[in-house]
Amino acid sequence: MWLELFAQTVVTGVLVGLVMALASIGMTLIFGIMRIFNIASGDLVILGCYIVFWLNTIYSLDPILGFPVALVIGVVLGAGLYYFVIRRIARKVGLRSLLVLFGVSSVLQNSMLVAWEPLTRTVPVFYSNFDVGQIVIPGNKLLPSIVSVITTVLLLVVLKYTYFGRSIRATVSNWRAASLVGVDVDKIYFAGFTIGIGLTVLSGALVALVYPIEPYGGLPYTLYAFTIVILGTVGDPIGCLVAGLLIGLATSFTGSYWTQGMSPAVSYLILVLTFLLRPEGLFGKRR
Amino acid sequence: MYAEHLLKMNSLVICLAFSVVVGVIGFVSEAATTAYLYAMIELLILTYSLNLFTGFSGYINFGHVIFYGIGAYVVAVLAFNLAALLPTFLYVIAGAVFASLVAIAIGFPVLKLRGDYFAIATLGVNEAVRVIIINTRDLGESRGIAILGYIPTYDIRSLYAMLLATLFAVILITHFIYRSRLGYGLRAIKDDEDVAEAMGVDTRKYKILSYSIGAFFAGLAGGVVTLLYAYAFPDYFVIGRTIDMLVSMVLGGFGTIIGPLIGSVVYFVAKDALLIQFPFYHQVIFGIILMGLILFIPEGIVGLINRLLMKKGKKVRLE
Amino acid sequence: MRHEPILKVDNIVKRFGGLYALKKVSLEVERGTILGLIGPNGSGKTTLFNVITGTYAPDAGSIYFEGEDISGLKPHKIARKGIGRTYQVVRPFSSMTVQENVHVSAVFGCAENEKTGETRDVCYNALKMTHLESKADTPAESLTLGEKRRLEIARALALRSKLLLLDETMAGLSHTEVDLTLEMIRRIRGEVGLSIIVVEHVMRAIMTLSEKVVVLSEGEKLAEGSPKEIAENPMVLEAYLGEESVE
Repeated sequence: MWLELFAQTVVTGVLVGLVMALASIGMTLIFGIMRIFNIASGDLVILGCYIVFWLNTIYSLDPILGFPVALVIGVVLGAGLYYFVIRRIARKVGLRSLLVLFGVSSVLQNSMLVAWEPLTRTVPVFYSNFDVGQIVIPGNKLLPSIVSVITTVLLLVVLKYTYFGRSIRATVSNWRAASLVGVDVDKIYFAGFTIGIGLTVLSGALVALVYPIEPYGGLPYTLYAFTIVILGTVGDPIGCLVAGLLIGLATSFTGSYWTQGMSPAVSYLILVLTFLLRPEGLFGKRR
Repeated sequence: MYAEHLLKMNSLVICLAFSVVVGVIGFVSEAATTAYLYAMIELLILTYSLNLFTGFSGYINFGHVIFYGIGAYVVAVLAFNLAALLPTFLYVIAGAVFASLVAIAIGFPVLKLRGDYFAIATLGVNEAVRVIIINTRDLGESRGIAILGYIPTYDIRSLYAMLLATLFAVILITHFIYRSRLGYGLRAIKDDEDVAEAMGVDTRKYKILSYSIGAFFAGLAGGVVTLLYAYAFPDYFVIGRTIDMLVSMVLGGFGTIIGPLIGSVVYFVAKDALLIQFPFYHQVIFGIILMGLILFIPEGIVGLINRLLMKKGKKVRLE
Repeated sequence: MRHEPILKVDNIVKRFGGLYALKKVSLEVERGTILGLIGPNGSGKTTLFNVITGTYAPDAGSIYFEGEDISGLKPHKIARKGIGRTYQVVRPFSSMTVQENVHVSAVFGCAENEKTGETRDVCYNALKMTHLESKADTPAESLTLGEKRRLEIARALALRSKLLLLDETMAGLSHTEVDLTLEMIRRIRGEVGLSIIVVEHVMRAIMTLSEKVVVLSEGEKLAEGSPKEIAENPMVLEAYLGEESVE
């Protein structure tokens, strides 16, 4: 019995962690390229959730089909945000970007509240569970994590093997040097931001299968993503995966052995500890 | 012509004069007006208290509202357990003191972080406190703590007086800090923290100090509002108040003496008007306004006025 | 009159992750002298400055200032002990005037100023020595590059520093401006009895100004000696192959 609870907790933790990791990858990409923290990340996740929810409710669209829709909407939204807002503050010194994105977050939250009411929604689609011995692998958590892993692998492949990917890595490393070598830094900023937002909204589509949805529910997701980004070292997508797993496990264990309500507090504690003990993250260089 | 006279007057005098006028109006009016002014003065206090830290040092504190909530909960807990054993205003002071102690405790580790990291960490702290309170039985969980009957009820005029006193205090403190060594050091930190340190400024000490002084005044406001409603509940920690404070501060002008006053008044009046016209959209509109401000007029109304003054060649600067 | 060096850097090691920025660097600065610190880009000169001023803590080794171990102290404490610096990329306090900029160091950086109440005089002297007294009320941001460089020196002077670290003060200045700066530094050193470490790429400046030169390369001390000895040292020339701006 004991073993089963433990194993079940681990399974849940891994699956949830993989989904969380995707949103953080968006954030770490944006921060790595432009040194801007996407404080509106969680609200974009919620937006992704709503996209899947409404497509399912109104058009009876299977959530799996909703995933690419969410990605596309995210990319378009990211492009719009970049053009009208971010472009003016990228690379500028100071905390203006943070406040602007805080404004974006507020606009998103309240627009969703007005448009879709403060009711808590869930997507009433259930995918079949797999049983491994006494352990249940919930389909609703397995499917999103598989999609997350596939997307992450795709992204890593692009980053490593394409010219585009290498340009991004160069910009993350040193944008001045990158522009000297012929990288069009403005294009990379645009692409990086758009992809980052797209990934974030996509991760929301995935989360829709796992957690309930409400308009003001974005903040915890933002903080989870932030914790994962810092723990995994800023700008490092693989680090995000690892850190995502760790945080997923942490929240899962808190839920199983303490109370579900305290999971956010535990992850914030991890955040604080990371800042105090290893601010450069698991894979970073010491200052 | 009048404008020049106004500017020659000290910002401090303007602010104090304003407070006196509002105070008098609040006292002689009917309850509804007093309540309206109460809410406005509360926003003023919160914005001034945020300005003391964020405005002066440039460190964005997204979690300032926790000190408001802590002040409220301390008063509630004390009232619940001690009833009318001690005069209630002592509870309020205790709440504020506790809030500033919490600020010091949080400030020690968290203020080691710079810029962005600090800002997001404050968000985390805000959420953490809220989650902890919601999950703690002794603190009323999501229901909150009701203290009706534990302490004498106050009518709105006496609480209004308490709030006014707090406003006077925070304006005076803002003025003194602005002109003091602390304010000077904070301005250097805002401009360039590394260089400030290299020029001898003890950045850690100054940051923690201004953080906790800001917390104190937010705590006072929180304590008084608990007396007003005889109730403390987790909604005191909601991010919406943070937006109110931030927009007011940015609108008026970061780090000035008169900025928070102008910003809060404009914001409050506008918000109330918009609330009636667009009951649900007003938050959206203010989010957009915040973005617009940061992008186009980050220095706020005071900054704009100063820019105009410089263009006209005047030497006077509005503070 | 003590004969020990005012600054003694003893086997300082500084790592960033796996990279060694400084590998057991040692040097000494005699009181009242000017030490030139040169080396190709990335050799660790600015890192050494940052370690001396406390911005970075060394991973190994110690720094002695006037006989006292200051390794690992916080920057503001080191400033108060009497070490001032300028920056490679000028960093004035942008919201303040020239006078206010200097005032910051005078107020915070020097315990002596507070006690004797001489803050105003110290500021005025610092501005005078750097020929900035006419610009006292100008916003710091609106100064020219050369003036900003002088402002940095004025700020360090207001600290009443005994040791001044100048980081590429002459980069980007015209020929005449370089001469003026050289003359100003010499005069300041004479009047105040300062000890100075100068980092420069403008070779002419270093060679005429310094009494002793230390060469860093890839985090290690390559050579040390009088300007003439260094100029004739083949290893030094080799380290600089591929470097421009050897005037």
